[in-house]
Amino acid sequence: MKPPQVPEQSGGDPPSRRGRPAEPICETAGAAHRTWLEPLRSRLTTSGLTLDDLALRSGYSKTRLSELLRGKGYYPGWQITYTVVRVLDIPALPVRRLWTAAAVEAEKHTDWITSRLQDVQLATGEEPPVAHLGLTQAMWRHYTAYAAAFLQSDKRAQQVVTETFDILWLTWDEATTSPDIARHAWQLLRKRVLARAEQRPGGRPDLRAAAFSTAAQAKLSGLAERLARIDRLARFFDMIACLPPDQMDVTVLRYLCGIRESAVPAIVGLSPAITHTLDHHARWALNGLYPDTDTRE
Amino acid sequence: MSTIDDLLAQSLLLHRPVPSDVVPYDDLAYAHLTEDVLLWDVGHEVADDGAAQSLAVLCEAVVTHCTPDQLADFLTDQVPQPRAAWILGCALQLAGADDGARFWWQYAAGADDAPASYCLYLQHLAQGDTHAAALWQAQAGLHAPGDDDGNQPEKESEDAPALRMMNADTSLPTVLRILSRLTRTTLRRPTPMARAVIEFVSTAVALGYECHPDLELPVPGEDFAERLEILAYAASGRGKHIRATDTAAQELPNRPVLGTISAWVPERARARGPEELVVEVTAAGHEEPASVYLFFREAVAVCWGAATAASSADGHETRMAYHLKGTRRRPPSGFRTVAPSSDASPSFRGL
Repeated sequence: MKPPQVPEQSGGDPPSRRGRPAEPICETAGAAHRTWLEPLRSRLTTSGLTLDDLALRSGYSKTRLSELLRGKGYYPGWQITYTVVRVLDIPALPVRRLWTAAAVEAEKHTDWITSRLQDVQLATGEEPPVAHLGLTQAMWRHYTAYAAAFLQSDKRAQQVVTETFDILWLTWDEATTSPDIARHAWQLLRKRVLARAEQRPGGRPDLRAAAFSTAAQAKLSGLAERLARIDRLARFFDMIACLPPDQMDVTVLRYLCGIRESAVPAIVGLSPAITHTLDHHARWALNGLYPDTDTRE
Repeated sequence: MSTIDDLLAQSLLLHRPVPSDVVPYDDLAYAHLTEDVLLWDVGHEVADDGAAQSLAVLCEAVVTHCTPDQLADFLTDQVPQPRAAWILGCALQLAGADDGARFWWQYAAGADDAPASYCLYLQHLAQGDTHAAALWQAQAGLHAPGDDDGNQPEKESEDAPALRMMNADTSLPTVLRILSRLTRTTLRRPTPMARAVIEFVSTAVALGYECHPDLELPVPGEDFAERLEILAYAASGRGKHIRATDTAAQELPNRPVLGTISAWVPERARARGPEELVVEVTAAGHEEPASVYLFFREAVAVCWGAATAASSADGHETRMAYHLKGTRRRPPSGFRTVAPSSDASPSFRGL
């Protein structure tokens, strides 16, 4: 039933059959670019519009739209992106932010970005769904604390969390069909944080830099003592990063971020019993991983 | 394990450890371009004190002026009728159980009780949750563009509300709003009944939480309705005198001091209260008399059975007298012979 995957002709011939499946995203598209492109594509699919329909409603040629949807060629301008967003009835504000981030990633000049953004007046009063707003308000601080543990800077952390909530807003329909929205949101955040965090060999995140930011070392006055403490904690944090994902999350939230035990289940979207077990297992695993002989300084 | 515990105890990270300009990260460029990156920083919303005040005053007025019948109007032993649920919510709000109050108000609002929606609107506004407040405001059907109670707490005779009253909006939310403005300027002392009810309700709720710590809702215990009724009848053993004016502060007639044993004696004649009252209503010069009288009738309908205009009215039509007939009150069950004793007071408290 699926027509063969022929490369799209530059002339943009109309598909012989309605609803020809979309070509996959071009490999050269960056990660941030994909972030906003994927929800756009899935919305197009669910809307049932063909490329023809889209071209008709947006006023752009099929060629250009096809390139936009595949992430091919030059990074698309904001105007065409906005038009497609409006046709597909997607909230424009989060897409705008994500488009900007991807434009920076694609090494577009700041002036170019700014002028493109200014060309289009955004409709005001676009608000996320109430449940989304509630989730944002409840989780913002906790998510930021988690992200800051891996990304060190508060600004970077806020950026990632903003990005996460933007994506969540864009894919809200999908999110609400998941069995547990808190878990879904948490896993989304996790993915985005770890994608930006430094990596150790083996793919695990590098948590060692957080040792420079602990309250314990900040209290010490002697430089040698401080460095010794940092060194010790850096190795310990490296061990934490070796833990299985859920155990690592619970440990980071509880001990590094200082979030109280009763709040952690709601953040990670797991039941209190499971969270408690994870904490317990994590400590046991750390006990095995971290050699006791290093306690003496 | 203690080594790990030590290390974990030392793991706490500082808040905002690294100034952002020290560490050069590529992806920070994004932050400069979009000024609304921090749109999601929704940490603190400004709570509305004015709304909190209005709500407190409104709840006091409701609990003070309701009759025992209305308060104890329960469908089953533990489930109240919507109007009684609203009053119960007000009592809980006064007792500081915000969540409990919200629960009962939502219950009543679900049964299309407009005052409950209005109370929810005020409560959410007081907590700074404008979104939810707007939702409940829509439910309650307010027309006014904004509640500026908080901005002008002292002035009683602003032009703006008077103008809003010109279209004679006698919907219950408007009435309540006016009533809340009125009661704010009078000296408020909770009646014995109000105080007793609030204490009883808060105790019951506290006990409920102790018995069922998992439940977030106030679960009335068994016989809640009956006890509430008995308590309300016991405490309301004096008549109510209502003089409604809408200008300068006027002190309500003194109520008996709580603590005297005789206050708790439930004599049947006194428990009933006055059956009839004549009340004078005066409209201030700049206000539309008709709407004021309509408002009065609506407000009074909350507490009394019927308000009919007495025949006397002075030539200026700014003063009207109303003949109020009390609600029909049946004697409380199981209450016929209670010996006045010094134990009466603690036993009701202990409920």
